[in-house]
Amino acid sequence: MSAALGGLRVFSAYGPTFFLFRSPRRDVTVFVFTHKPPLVHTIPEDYVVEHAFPIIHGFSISMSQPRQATIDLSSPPAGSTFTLNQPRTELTVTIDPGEDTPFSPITLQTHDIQGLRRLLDECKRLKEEFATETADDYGFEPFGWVAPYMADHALPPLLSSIPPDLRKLKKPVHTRLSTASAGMPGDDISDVEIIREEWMRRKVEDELFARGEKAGLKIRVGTFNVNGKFPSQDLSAWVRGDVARPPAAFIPPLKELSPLSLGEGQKNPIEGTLGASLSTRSLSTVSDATTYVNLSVDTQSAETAVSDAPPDVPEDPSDPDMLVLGFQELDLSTEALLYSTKTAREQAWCMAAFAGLGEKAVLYEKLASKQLVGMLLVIIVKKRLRHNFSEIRAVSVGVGIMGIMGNKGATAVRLLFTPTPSPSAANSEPQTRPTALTFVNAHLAAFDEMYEKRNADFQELSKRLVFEPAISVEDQQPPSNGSWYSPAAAPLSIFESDALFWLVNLNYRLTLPDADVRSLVADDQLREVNIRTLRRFDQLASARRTKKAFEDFVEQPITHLPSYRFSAGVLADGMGYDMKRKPAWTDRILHMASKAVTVKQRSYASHATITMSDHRPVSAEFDVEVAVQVSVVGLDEYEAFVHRVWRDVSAIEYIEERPRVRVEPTNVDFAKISYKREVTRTVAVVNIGKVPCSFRFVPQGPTADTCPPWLRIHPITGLVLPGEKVDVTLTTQVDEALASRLNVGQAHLEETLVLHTALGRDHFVAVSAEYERTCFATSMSWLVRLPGPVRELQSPDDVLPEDRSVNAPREIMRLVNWLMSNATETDGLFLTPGDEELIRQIRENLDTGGEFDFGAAEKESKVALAFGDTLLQLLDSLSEPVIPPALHPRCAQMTSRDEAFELLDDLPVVNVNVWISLTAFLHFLGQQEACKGRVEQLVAIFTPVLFRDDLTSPTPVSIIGRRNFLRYFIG
Amino acid sequence: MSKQFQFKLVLLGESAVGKSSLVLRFVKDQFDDYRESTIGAAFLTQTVTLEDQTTVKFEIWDTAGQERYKSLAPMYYRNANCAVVVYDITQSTSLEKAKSWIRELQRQADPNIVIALCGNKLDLAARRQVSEEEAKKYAEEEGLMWGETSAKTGEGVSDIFTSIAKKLPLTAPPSARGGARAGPARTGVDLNKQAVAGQGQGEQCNC
Repeated sequence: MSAALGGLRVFSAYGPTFFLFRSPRRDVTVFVFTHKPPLVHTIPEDYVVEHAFPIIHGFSISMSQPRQATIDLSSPPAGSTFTLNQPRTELTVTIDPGEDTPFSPITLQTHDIQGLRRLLDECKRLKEEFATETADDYGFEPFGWVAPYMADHALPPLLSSIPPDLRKLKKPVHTRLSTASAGMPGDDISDVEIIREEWMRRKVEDELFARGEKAGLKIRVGTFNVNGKFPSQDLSAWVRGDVARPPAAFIPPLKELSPLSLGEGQKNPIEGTLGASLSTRSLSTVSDATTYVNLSVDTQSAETAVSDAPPDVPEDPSDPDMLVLGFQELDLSTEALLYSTKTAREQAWCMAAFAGLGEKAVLYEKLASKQLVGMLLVIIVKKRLRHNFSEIRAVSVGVGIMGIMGNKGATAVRLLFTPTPSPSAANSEPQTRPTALTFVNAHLAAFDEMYEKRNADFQELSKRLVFEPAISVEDQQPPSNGSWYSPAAAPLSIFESDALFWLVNLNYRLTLPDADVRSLVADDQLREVNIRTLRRFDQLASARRTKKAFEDFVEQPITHLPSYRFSAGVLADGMGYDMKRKPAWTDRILHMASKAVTVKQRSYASHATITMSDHRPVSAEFDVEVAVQVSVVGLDEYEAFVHRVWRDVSAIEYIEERPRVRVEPTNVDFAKISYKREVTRTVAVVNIGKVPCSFRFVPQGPTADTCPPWLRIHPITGLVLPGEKVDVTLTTQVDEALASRLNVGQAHLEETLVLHTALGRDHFVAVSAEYERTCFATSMSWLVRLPGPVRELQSPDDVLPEDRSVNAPREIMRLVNWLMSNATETDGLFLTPGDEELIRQIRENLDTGGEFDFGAAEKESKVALAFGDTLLQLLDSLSEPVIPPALHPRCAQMTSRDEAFELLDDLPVVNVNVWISLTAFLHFLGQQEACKGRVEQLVAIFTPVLFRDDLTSPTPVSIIGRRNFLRYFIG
Repeated sequence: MSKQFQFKLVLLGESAVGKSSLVLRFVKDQFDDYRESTIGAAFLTQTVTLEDQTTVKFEIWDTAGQERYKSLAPMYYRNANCAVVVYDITQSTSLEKAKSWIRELQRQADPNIVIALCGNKLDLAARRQVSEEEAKKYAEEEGLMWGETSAKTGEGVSDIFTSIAKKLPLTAPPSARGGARAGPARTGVDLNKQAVAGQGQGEQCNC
């Protein structure tokens, strides 16, 4: 853009430098530059635009001189050089951009009296020149070209030192745009800003982060409610995982609180590091709100510790780099609530954790800790990585009694991790991007019925856990250029991180009846399917599903047993669970991360061998991958890149040129679309104009959806540079919910998509498709009214009247018949998933009425398995299960086979026919050699399908009761 | 200072009668012999200055004429203050189509909408199929404004927009009409406005 300008005159001065630029339109702007000393000596010196002031009517520039100093203007110093001792006169320049502008006047200091005089004269002359011309002479919008240089565009948001809020990142861009529809463009200007910021972020992610070198950080995270106990057992299973260790390194369980003896005359590695951290705490924990851990003190002690460590302790690649442990109920005494807690318990648990590390303990040291009453969060890192962590902040918030006490609440620690640059880059300055990691240890409201309170606690903690700015002891100067890696001076939300982990005693419970939970967890034959069943009744899953708490967090599916509540002796059931408390997964580990890091979870487990508390400790291992260098050349290029692209896309709203794109094709025909089959088409958006163009798809009307339910648009918003092209993919995807709507509607689908270009026109893309009906995702009562195969139905009105319906859906019967004649010898029928392509073929045959024909493969077990899976999927897709939910409570109460048969009288005749055929087949199957001893598995698999749960019900019907009912028929 | 008014105007009519050409002539005083069919809706603005120095800014939505997109037209004419319904004087069917648009507007659009019927392609008068009398008579019956234009030569184009501007109720507060598009959101960069409004302040240079 600056190429279009004629440089008019240059005024060089000490301090700020002024340039006057005249555009081809003859409007003139004063640019104020500051000299930016290079961060890296290999980069040439740079001048940065600080301000830009168009010379218009309101513009004024003035100079003043402090009274106390005088200067002889007639004789400037020879050679214009000053020495340090010579009194220099500061001249103050004030530039007022004018009353109508949103910008405030600025004042600058300079010594160059000569330069300044010339500047003022020139400005005066230009302003007069401007006054003589009328606005019309400027055409569309004078000074449009200056806009990208003006104040609020100086720093693209991407160069902020603070990672964007993770919650915002997880929300799709289009949900953040203004309300718009065809003919009602909304607020294009603000939309453009959002779209281009997103575009920039993606560009940076794709072109810089993705190519940069990566470093891994292994984090082992643990949560443990210790129920007020002191450590009395070996914690190695929890802190190290269940790794095989050489016997020599075994550390006997702690019997009492005492300094640990590590044997072999080894110096206790914990004392030194703990001492250092604790002294730091005493420096900074005066206020409970914020802890700043002084790095310089610790670094020294770490170095000492390293030199003391025996050199022969080998490091395994599997050793975590970072150990993050969250304890709850450290201290249950009443005093703990009232007085600031002592460090004795913290010390004891830290020592136990180090002891659990065994011979590896010498490699580690405590980096930070934060305690609030019974909640303690401890971060332990490898000594050799100690200097990679910085700007550690901590906070705690109580949400317990009266909403503020610390019996419930959270403690959190935020830190920056800066990976060590690779040796190839070692000769230059570190060019690494720090990664902000945040860990939250929380303890939420207890008891089954406190579900809503727990959700509220989470929301409250999300709001109140704010890290105040770190107050450094060294009072270090932040880099003056406002660069993105400078320590943030603002309070930070826990969500303003690259990766956020919650290691928590959430106290979310299971909604199933107590006896159900116990018998499901007790059955080790069916452990996998039972755990899967239990997960559906987990309150946390329900909170996440309904977006009441932990929305957008990731939790690896649990495969371990509930971690609460254990007891001993007569108070316990056979599994050791307390008879008075329903077992539950109260102890959880969840995370959330931006695209700047990759988080892979390696494990998620509870540790049954550690029995000292009524909870079992839970651990999770993560591999976190962070960018070592933002690009091959580092930070400066990154900044330059961001600035350049930012400027490219910033000009849009200030220039006369309207964005112009060509959209092709404008007619998209998907031809045939069907259940579970994806069809993709591409529409190209080509920028044929001269300016960047932001586009978004908008709904046809204020109450309409942007696209029909059978279509997905990606991306739904975008930005395309002049001469470039963006491919928008349109995908049809018919899932169960959609199929159940489309099955009973018209088959011909037609819609017009409206693509709105910001500040430009709307483009129409006509889409059409022919829906192929399926027998899946419908109701049995509709299936029996089909006059033939579902695919032959021309119109939804062509179904038979109810009195002429068949007695059972022929699709289900066809499957049962085939299985009966071909699959009774198949090993693993219904238990092993079928091949997707075979399932698709079978589905197609059911829909078209075509014969099942698998040629030579007919007798292979994979075909039989696919048939079995198809039957399960068909039953599971029915809009109402074979046993309607209203009957579930009664089914669960049946105590005999006769009662169970009697209950069938209350079912519609179609359901009874299906039920009888299915259970008769399953009964027969259970007696076959291939299925010996697998009846229980069949029962466990078919129960959730035939009695599909109403997940919105707060009081689910007993699973065990429903299984019993099914067993009366097939057992 | 003169008054400024802002109105939403929509162009309707059969495909290929010259709606986009008419707008191009009005807004940029240009003409393309070969224009692709509009698939979508274009948004443009043009300001008309009346004799009393009142300025009327038209926010123009030029819509697609193809039958395929007819269902979307209401999205563009809702809240419109005025409509220009265009037909091609060399195609009598296009007048029939224009009449059907007018009926739709009378039924569905804002009851106060100002409608102008515009016969385009006056440069092709030799092949005329729609007589002036016929169209004019219809317009009078329906209480519409009427005019003939040639987007190619420019004849009659500004006249029709100026007459509409004169007929619009210039008593409403400026830019307060429904459907008006939000102006540039950040006043700080609306330098045009400063240039017009700002009067030179006293010199402040004290050197």
